[in-house]
This record gives sequence, structure tokens and C-alpha cells, in this order.
Amino acid sequence: MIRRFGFVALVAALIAGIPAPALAHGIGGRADLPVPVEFFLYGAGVVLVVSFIALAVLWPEPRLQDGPRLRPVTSYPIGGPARVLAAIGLVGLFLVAVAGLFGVQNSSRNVGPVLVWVAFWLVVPFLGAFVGNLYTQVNPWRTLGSMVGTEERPELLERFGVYPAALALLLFTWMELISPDGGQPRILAIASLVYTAYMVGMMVWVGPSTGLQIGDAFTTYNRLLSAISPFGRDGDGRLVRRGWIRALPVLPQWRGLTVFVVLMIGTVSYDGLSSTGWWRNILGSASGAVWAETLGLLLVAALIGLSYWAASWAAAKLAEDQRSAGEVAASFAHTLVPIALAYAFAHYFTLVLFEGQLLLSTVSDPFGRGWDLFGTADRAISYWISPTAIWYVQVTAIVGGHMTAVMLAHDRALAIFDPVRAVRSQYAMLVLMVALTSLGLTILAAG
Amino acid sequence: MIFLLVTTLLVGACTATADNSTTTTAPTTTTTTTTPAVNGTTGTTTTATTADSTTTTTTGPVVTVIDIVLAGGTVERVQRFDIPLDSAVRVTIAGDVADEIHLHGYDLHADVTPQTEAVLEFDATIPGVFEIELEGSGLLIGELQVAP
Repeated sequence: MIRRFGFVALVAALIAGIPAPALAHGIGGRADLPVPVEFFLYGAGVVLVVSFIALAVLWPEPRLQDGPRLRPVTSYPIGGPARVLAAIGLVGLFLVAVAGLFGVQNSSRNVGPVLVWVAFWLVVPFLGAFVGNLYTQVNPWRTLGSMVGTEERPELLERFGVYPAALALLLFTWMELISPDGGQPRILAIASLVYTAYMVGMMVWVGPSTGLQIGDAFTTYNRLLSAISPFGRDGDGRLVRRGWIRALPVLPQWRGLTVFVVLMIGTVSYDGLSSTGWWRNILGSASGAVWAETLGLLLVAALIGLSYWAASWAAAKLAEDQRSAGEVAASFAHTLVPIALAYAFAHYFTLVLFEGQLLLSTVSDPFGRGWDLFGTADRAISYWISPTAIWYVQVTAIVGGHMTAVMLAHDRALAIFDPVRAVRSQYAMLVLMVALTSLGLTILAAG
Repeated sequence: MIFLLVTTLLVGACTATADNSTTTTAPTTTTTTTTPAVNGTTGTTTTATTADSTTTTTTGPVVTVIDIVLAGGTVERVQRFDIPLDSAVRVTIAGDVADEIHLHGYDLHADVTPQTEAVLEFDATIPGVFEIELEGSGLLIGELQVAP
């Protein structure tokens, strides 16, 4: 199924007659100013100090491993808002397809690109990390899947894990960052329909719930990020409060989760790196060529994966533990989720605040036909946040993600390693996290 | 065979339009970057800067002039041009292709042909990094970095 998606996307791209060299970005074309050196140094300094203090003073007993205590916020299931979100999701998918196929082919005047690249891909997960998983309800494929009667085959989740979802994530980010036509409403419409066919096929094959977990990139993506949030739902659908990040250590360790998390970090890193002059100089005349950029994306993700694997290997050795590097990597995968959120947030929050305003104008004129349904069609983007404020948010996000990750890793090490040696194992993960955070800061500073 | 010639000139606007015979001296900054690259030879860069006197009054906004020359429908190396926030900007693109120029963010378009240059004139009021793209071929031909 996944293969079919890739193949159709490829065919669609070929039909559109794309030249080899390409401009990246699903939407936009505006980027943030590079972070000045003093912000960079401030961020890096805090990271180092915090990391060393963490080693000295963090708690000696695991505290986060038992899972959150759930305190109900509502005494009834929150079905109403859930149905509203589901309706929004279906309407959104419908708009992307119809506006993309029949509307004007302009990424800032058609509602499709901003719905996909801002609302669906950024706003829903970012909000989810603070107020709880919205995607479970918004997910139009889940809504469609509720009509699928196939019996669940959870044993296939054991077998495939989230590898198909990881592959779908890779293809999606490839469209966003490398495909020269990621901003083309028609291509997005075709891709959304192909993905719908793929998801429906998946759910018919293995059951709706299992299908989403195995195949839907965004189910896993949103599930991971929203585990940071202090809000969730209990088994009866009631809204509950829990501590921040408390749901992360108890996430199921699906097969392929490590690869998924590494891809989350790798793709954003690649996006930052690929817009620097340094990267363009390396690629030389191949810069902008689809094959070279694709290779670059895979390489960046592979390097991050390799560093993580090496850190996991070293952690096991330092703790004198029998676990393999792969097992340790899987066990610590959730600790990288805050770093993934920090990377994405630092990188894309201005896209939400600025290009996100296109939602107002394009919703009022979704097909770019001169309509004005809500009187907002002519609204121009207001760039209301100063560069200085943007830098503060970016550096704070990266540093915050780092601190959270260090805490989570410390706690997991205490839980799975021999307590006497657990702190030693931390050196390896700490080195990795300082490296990832420095990479994040460097990318922001290199612009 | 593909070569790139880029010239950036930052000049005081009033040198062109305002009366120069008055005692008011305009702030004048001239930066010339020339990159003639012939088959792998790297280009040379010359920079000349003349600072203005602090006592004078300014008679007009700073105008940033950027010239991009396309050869073979592309540039050899994508360059990033620094532009002071709130300055007036004039970007001209000359080249041997017929295509549409798109400056992202400011969302300005202009057509270039082998006979006519594309000219984009605007006030740099939005800070950030903005791509200049050839809409037809999808090629990135330059970036503007607008910073305070």
C-alpha cells in the first residue's frame, strides 16, 4: 500500500513535468532571520550548565515510570466537541481535494496548501502538545474508518509496528521539503486522495484501529507529541488532567518507534540545514536537484539515527548492561520526543503565526475564484512579531526541549539500569542530547 | 560557461533624485560585489564603504539596488543579499530566459525576457529571509535578508 502511495506520487510528479532542480518548501518562502551569536551563546551556555547540574542533583529514584495519575476534568465523555472536530477534519479533507482539483493553482490563494502544511501538519500537533491530542478526533480517516467493519488484527501491529507509518512520514516530509510541487494545490489534492485510498485499504485489511496505528503517519506523530500535554482522555472518553510529559514514559514501544522519532528530528534538521549557504556550497551545482536533496534528507536522518544508536550502545556499555543497543534505543525513544517538538516548534512557529493567516483569506475564497464568503478574502498577512521576540521563542524552545529530554532520559536510566551504574550511563545520552541541541541552535544561527 | 555577475549597490536615494548642491550630505554606502566566475574559477569580491557624516540630515531613505544576471537560465551560486529593514529596494534581474520572477513573502511578480529586465521595487518592511524564484523553472536564484 505504502509502495503504491510512493509510486502514484512519483507518477503524479512526472506527469506534472517537473524539471530536476527545485525549490523546497510546501508553502511560504519566507524564513526567519538567523539567530544572532549572543542568543546562540546564551542558549548553548544554559544547555551546558543545566546538563551538568542535572547530573548532580536529579532524583536518585525513578519517578515518571508508573504513568500519570489521572484527575477527571469532566465527569462525562466529551462527545460534542469530538464530533465538531471530526466534522472539521472531514470538511478539511474535502476542501483540499476539491479546491486542489478545481480551484486556482496558486499556493497562497487556494485553501488546500495552507490547510495541509499549516493547519493539519503544524497547528493540530502543536496544539496537541499543549491541550491534548486533537488529531484523534480531527483525523478524517478515522472517521471514515468507523464505517469499516473489519475485525481488528492486533497481531499485525506486532509484526509491522509503525514502520509503514514511518515510511509515510518520510514521503510526506519529502513532499514538504524537497518536492518542487509540494505547494501545488492539484498535487496536494491527488496526494490526499491517494493517502485516503491507502488508509481505507489499510483499515479494511487489518481493522480500523490497527490500521491507523500501523499505517497512519499522523496518528503516531500526534500521539507522541500530545503525550507531552497535561490533558488526555480516559477509557470512558472523559477529559482528564495529568502531569506534563507524564504520558511519555508509558507510551507503548511499537516496533519502528525509534526510526519514527529519529525521522521526526532528522527531517526538521534537514530543512534547517538545506537552507544554509554551507549546505548549498557542499552540494555545489547539484544544489536544488531533487536527487541530491533527497539523498541529503536520507543522509541527515541516517546520521542522527546513527548517533542515537551509538549513544544507546555506549549507555548500555557504561551501565554494564546486557541489553543490545537497539533495545536501549527503543527504551529511550520517548525521551527524544521533546527535542523533536522543540525543533519543529522553533522552526515552524512563525509559519503558523504568519502564513497561518492565509487561512482567513483562503477560507473566504477557497478556490481563488474571487468569492468572499466571510469578508476576509482580502486580508493581507500581518508580520506582527519582531525578530527579537522570534529569537527568544526559538532559543527557549530548544533549551526547554533539551532539559525535558535530559530529565526523561535520567528517569528511564534509573528504571532500567542497575541503579549504581545508571548515572554513568547517562553520560552517553547527555552527550547525544547536548549534541542534538547544539545542532538545533547552530541551524537556527546559520539561517 | 555558466557565469554569474552580481552587483550590489547601496546608495543614498537622494544622490539620484535630490538636489546635491545643497549643504545637506546624504548618507552614502557603496558596496560592490562582483563575481565573474569562469569555468570553476572563483570570483573576486571588492567592497568599498563610505560612511556618512553623523552631523548631516538625511534627505531620503536608503535605496538598496540589487542586480542579478542569469546565464543559462540560472545563477551559478545562490547568493543572500543583506537589506536594511525599511529601506527602499530595487531588484533587477536580467537574463537569457523568459520566465516569471517571484519574490516570496512580499509576493511580488515580474516578467523577465532576454530583451527586458525584470524590476521589483518595494519597501523592505517585513523582516526575514525571502526567496527569489524563477516561477516557471522553479529555480532559486537569490535570497533577500531583511534585518534591522
